[in-house]
Amino acid sequence: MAPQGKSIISKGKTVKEAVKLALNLLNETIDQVEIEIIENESKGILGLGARPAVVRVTAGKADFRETDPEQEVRNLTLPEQASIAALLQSKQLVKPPEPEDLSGKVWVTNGRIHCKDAPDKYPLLSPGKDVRLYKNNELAEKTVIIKQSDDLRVELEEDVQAPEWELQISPDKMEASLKIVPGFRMERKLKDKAPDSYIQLEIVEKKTVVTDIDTRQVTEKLREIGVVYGVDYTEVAKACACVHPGTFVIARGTPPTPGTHGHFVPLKEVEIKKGLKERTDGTVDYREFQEFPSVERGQVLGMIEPPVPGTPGTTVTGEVVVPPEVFPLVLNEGIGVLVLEDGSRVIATEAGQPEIKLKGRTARISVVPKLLIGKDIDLEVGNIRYVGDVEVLGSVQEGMLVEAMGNVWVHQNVHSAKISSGGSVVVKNNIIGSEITSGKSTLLLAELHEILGALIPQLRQMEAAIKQLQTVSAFKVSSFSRSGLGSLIKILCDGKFKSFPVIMTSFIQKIDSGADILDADWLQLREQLHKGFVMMNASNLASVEDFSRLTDTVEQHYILSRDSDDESDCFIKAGYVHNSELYCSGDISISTRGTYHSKVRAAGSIDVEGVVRGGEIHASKGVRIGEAGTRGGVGTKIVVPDRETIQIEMAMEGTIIQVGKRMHKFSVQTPNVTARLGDDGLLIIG
Amino acid sequence: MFKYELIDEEATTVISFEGDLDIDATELMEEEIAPKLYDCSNIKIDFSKVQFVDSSGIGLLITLIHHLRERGIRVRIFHVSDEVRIVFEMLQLPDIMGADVLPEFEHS
Repeated sequence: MAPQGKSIISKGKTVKEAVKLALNLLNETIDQVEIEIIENESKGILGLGARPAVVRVTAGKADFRETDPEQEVRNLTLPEQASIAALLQSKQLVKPPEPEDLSGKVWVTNGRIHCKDAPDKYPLLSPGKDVRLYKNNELAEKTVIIKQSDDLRVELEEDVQAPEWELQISPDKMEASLKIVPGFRMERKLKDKAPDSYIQLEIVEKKTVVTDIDTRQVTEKLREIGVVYGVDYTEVAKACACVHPGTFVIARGTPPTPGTHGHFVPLKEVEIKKGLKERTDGTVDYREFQEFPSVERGQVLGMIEPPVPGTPGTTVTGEVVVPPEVFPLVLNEGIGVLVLEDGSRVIATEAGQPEIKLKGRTARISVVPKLLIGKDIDLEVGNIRYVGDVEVLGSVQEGMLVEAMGNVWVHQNVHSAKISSGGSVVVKNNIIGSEITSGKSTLLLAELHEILGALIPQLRQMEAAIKQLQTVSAFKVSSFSRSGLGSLIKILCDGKFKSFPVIMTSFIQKIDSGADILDADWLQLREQLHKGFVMMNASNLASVEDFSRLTDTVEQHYILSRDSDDESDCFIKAGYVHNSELYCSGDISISTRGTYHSKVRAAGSIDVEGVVRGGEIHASKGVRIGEAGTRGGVGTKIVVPDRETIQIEMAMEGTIIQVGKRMHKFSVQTPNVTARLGDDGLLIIG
Repeated sequence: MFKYELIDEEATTVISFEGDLDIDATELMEEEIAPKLYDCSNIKIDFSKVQFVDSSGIGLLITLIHHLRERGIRVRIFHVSDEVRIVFEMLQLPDIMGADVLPEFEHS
């Protein structure tokens, strides 16, 4: 038999189970103990908030018949379900202090307040911080005098927070997770106090973490919400026993393995190798031409690989996840190639340079023929217009024109001539007084894109202005059907939209300048804009709806021109440039001899190893220059957009650099210049 | 139907427009009104009886004012109704014609 007063708190699924457990531990029978039900079990809802039953079992049955309940200090904060026996716990449990000490004193033992009257003294009791003391059912806010006959009780709150858990399935159904917040039990009781004529009540708190989540409830709930695949039961058990809040991934699906689309595997080197070598004297190494790939007739260019489908995956809810669909390569046969009957190989039918353009799942493969001219291009040879590459072993002489859809290589010089190339341009020696364009259509599209960027907001504002005007009652909208929008557009251009005709004109001129290389829909757009806005009095726009439609078309072209970067691999490479204009949709690099009084503009970067004297350098992707400017001579200007950098090994006095909108003019000769914009948008020159 | 009335008050010519200043006023404006005004030196246009305008009518007016001013003739437009005034302001006519042509609009 357990010593009297030994008490055990036990938990069980039901009160019965908890008591049984406690009796076993105490080695007592049910008639030998006090049972206090601290909390009845609660099943909770859907596994949430389920709580076990909690009982306190104290050995040694109280004989409350001998006790006067009036004199007993009771703790009434016990839950309603607590047995009456527990409410009137035996006085015998309190070890009686020595009688002579106790007269006129108050003490606390085992959570109960006791006192003993004395003829000459009254014990004093103070509720203390956070203690709600009731004397004869009245709340005592201050120190009170007590006597044995008083009914004293203290309200103590017990906080119980059941453990909480929640199951979640990720949006892609590839994961189920269990979110756990462990519960706790905060027990409070009065602190024991030795007998004294005055005591202040104090509370002791005991916090226990409650973690017992039933894994069976969790797995049942998992089934209920449909999680049937990839459940990790070890992780479920771990989560249920966790004493810290957290989220556990307790089920994982298998993601699908993506397949591969059909694609082209080149057998032959088809990329143009950049970074051409130079000799130390700055001349371009002849061997550079070897770096443009070439194929013979009948040669296999490459294999067409069929698409390989991926493998499906499974979600935690057991659904099959189909991998992304795979598509075969759409082969667009260009000039000079044939595809084998079984569609597996691409064969060159002409000698020349293989060219592979990939756009989405479409590949355009062609072999660009090469026109080789073994001498100078002069009046005798005539202007050259060719669909492929052009190689000139001599020079391009005064007044001559070379127009090639492919690359242009000139082994000698270009003198007062014009070269327009759809690809790259290499001039081994000098470019003097000439105009060189590389990647012409890309460059043009970039320029058109820029103009459209300025045009579209104006069109939209104009559209809004017309719509607004239509709401004014004094304005006769009916006239539009007779006279169109022309006269109104004209007035708007005189007033709010003064810059509009200028932008429109520059757009139309830009299209006209490239009419031979632009797609038909650009020419069509030009016609529409011309009819709508240039011949204003005869404008074919008859309603604001017409206007909106045209603006939409313009916007489509704006998007179209942004996405085209087909020929950005183009480059210009030259030994020496004088009094010329160079435009390139890619990079431009000039050897140590440099550029003089020339306009050099690149959508890529510009690299001049030697000097840049006079003229202007515009590069969208940064500039590196050996030496810039002239001593007291003509101005030299170097421009890059914001975010880009200008590097100059030696900048002469008077050289102007511009990054974004910030400009700087060097007042003294400055070595090792690196210029860019700082985070504050100001020019940093280091 | 667009009509006009012309009154000479000493050095100033007052022309009152009446009706809708729209595309139908083109002929009258170009062939009758404009030639009559080219010989004046100081013109006041009374707009109080113009209730509706359209873009062609305003275009005509802009052209007329422009030609008169080119000849050094002083032109001012008065008594513009509130609704028409909104149209004038939206189209920024004070800016296009010159602020002194529309003295009533100075605060806009």
